[in-house]
Amino acid sequence: MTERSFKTDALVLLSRPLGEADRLVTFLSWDRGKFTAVARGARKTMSKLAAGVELFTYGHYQFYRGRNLATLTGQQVKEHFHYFRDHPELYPLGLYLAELAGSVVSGEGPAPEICNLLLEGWRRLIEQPDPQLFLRAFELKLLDFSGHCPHLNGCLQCGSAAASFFSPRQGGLLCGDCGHAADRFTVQPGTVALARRLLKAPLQQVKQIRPQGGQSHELGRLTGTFLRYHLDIGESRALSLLKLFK
Amino acid sequence: MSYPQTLEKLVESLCRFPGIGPKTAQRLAFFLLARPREEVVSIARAMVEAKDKLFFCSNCGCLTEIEPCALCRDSRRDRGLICVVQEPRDVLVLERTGQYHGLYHVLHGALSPLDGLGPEELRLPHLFSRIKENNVREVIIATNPNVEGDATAAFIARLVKPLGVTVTRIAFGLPVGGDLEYADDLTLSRALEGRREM
Repeated sequence: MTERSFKTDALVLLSRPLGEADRLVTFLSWDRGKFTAVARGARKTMSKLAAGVELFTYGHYQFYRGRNLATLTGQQVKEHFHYFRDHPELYPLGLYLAELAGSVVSGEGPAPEICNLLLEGWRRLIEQPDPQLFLRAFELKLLDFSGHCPHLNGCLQCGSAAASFFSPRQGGLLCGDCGHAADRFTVQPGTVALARRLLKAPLQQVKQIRPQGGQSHELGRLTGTFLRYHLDIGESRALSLLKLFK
Repeated sequence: MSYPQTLEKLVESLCRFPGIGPKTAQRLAFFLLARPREEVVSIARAMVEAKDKLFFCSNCGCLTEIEPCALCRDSRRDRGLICVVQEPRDVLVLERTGQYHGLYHVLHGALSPLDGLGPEELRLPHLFSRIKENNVREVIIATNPNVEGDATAAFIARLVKPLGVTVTRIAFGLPVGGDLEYADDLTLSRALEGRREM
């Protein structure tokens, strides 16, 4: 990244007040990964940058890179996800998707799959009859795109199809003979099938999937422990707020 | 050449103000040194006095020197109307318009999970008890028109409406003096939604 000014399509992951009237914005861009830029004067009512630096925005942005942080010089909003403003129960979920996507992209390298996934996630969240199942699908796809997908096709040591344990530390399913990992726990075959189905199905089809009793909860444990172990994602601050909205 | 220790300490202290960098802090320090001693003492005293005497009104959360604050004590104000704002300085801005004559409720922030701000931190339970105890007929939500402010407004509306109180949101639209061509799509669509007959 040698040129001083550049243009890119990006999603706003985080936007925080800075100084008197500025904003410090974290972008996730298709060709430049995750980076932070200053939007000068973006908190003023007459600012031409204000609308583009709001959380849950997809736009085309222009930057100037100085000695330190990049400075946002222009923006054109392509899509605003207004519904997060009017549905307080979806707001923490949208934030959680952004938090997750941001956690798997560390530098300024291209991240087209993660960007597409987050954009699609923000687009589809409003349609979901079961938002928790949608989160699980998002988590699994994110793990897949970032190269951390859990092994869900038989025992990861002997290949036996009768694998009924899951070990986050080992990275997938284990059968009763192979797996003696301390962190293993039982998973039902239906939950594993659900996870495989969510991994394959595009996000727009998740709303058609109906999990059976207990599967959704078990899958939440599976992805939650896996994310904590492999991506070092602790208790999500966004999801902790969700409990208060209920 | 390094500055005398006292001057360095002053510059360092001034650097703590928001928006003040080392250069500006240095300029302010030299400005103070050039002023008469009485003037500098009076500036320092004003800062300490403000810190010592001002606190947040336990009723509305505005800055005050007396409990309850002047706005809460004023019998001419409409007690059936509460305007919910994010920060104490928003009260001053709204008071400057001279258009509002009800009471206020300052949240001291907006719902922001990443900053650890939930309903408990925002004085929301106190707002609900004020509404129930004081026969409030309308709550005007004047949180900032950004994602956090709008989500906070939607959250408050959802909890307050079942109490039989009218909940309104301040209007959105174009700023006075702005050009239409520079307005973003969201602002324009909200301005169209909120249009009024002439």
